[in-house]
Amino acid sequence: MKVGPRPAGVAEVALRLMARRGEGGGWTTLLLQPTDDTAVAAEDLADEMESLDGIEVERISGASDAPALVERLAGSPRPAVVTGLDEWPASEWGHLDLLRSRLARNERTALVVKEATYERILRDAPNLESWLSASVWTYQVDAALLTEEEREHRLAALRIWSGLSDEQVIARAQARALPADPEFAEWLVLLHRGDLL
Amino acid sequence: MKPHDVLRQLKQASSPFSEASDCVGIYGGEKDFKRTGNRPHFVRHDGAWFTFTLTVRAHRGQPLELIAYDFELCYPHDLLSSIHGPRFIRFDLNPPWHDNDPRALRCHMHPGHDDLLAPAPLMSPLELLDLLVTGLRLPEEPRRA
Repeated sequence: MKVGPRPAGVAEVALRLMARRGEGGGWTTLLLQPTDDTAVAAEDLADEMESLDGIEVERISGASDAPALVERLAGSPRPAVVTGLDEWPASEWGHLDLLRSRLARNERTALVVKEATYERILRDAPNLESWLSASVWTYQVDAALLTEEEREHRLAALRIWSGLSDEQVIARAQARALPADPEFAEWLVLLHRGDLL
Repeated sequence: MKPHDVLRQLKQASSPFSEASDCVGIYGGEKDFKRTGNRPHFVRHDGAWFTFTLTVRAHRGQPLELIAYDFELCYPHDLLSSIHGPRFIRFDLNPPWHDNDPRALRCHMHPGHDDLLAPAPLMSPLELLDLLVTGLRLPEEPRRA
């Protein structure tokens, strides 16, 4: 059984990170599997962070080495999402470990890396890792999505409430004859018929 | 409620209808049509609980478009034992089905009865959450005449 950081989607990670307003910033780390698309996960995370606070988030990708990363972070007063460090060699993580005090910023920062990269950080930047370890999450793209059971449970409640079937709701939506209750908008999304909204 | 319990109540569902657009449902707790208090919900310190549902349209790279919402706050019976107040208050934004819907009632509130509604201002989801979390508090003692 593999035990690791708790799985979370970008919405939860963003909410937890952005809720730290007023605490001088802080770092959070999002670990990706080899098959996860880093660029998509990082962009989704930055989007969520921006939507929560209305502040533009700095995207820092592919810093060539530790001093370059430190310089780019220091040059931005905004919350930041850092990616593109998965190809760094062990020596660069060791260098960043030495420069870690310069990573302290007055804004919230998210580091998005593959799990294998984090293992390298554990090994080659142990002081940095102990600093990051307070907030580490395993990326799970569907963590916040309704399970099939939850979706069916909500649909069953809507059917009982209205006395209608899924087919009747779709037919009435197509005829633009649905009652004007927000529950029917919910119903169509649950049926994957958002095209009828 | 602890932060983890709050986050566990937040769920979403999506219905993509093009490469660039999704309709998304955002759920806070589970709708409790019979108002039993036995469904997942958010609980306040005074024992009142609330749930919400949002339906939005998402276009990549653009702000979300609000389609519909319902936010409902229920008061437990013991809170109402000494104060005669509504059992629940609910704020609805109906979806824009009908072109001739009276605009004043697309956005409305239900003060304690599903068939009784009054116009309400259009509020952002965060304004409504703020209202349900920190506002709408029943007084500890009835107001004297």
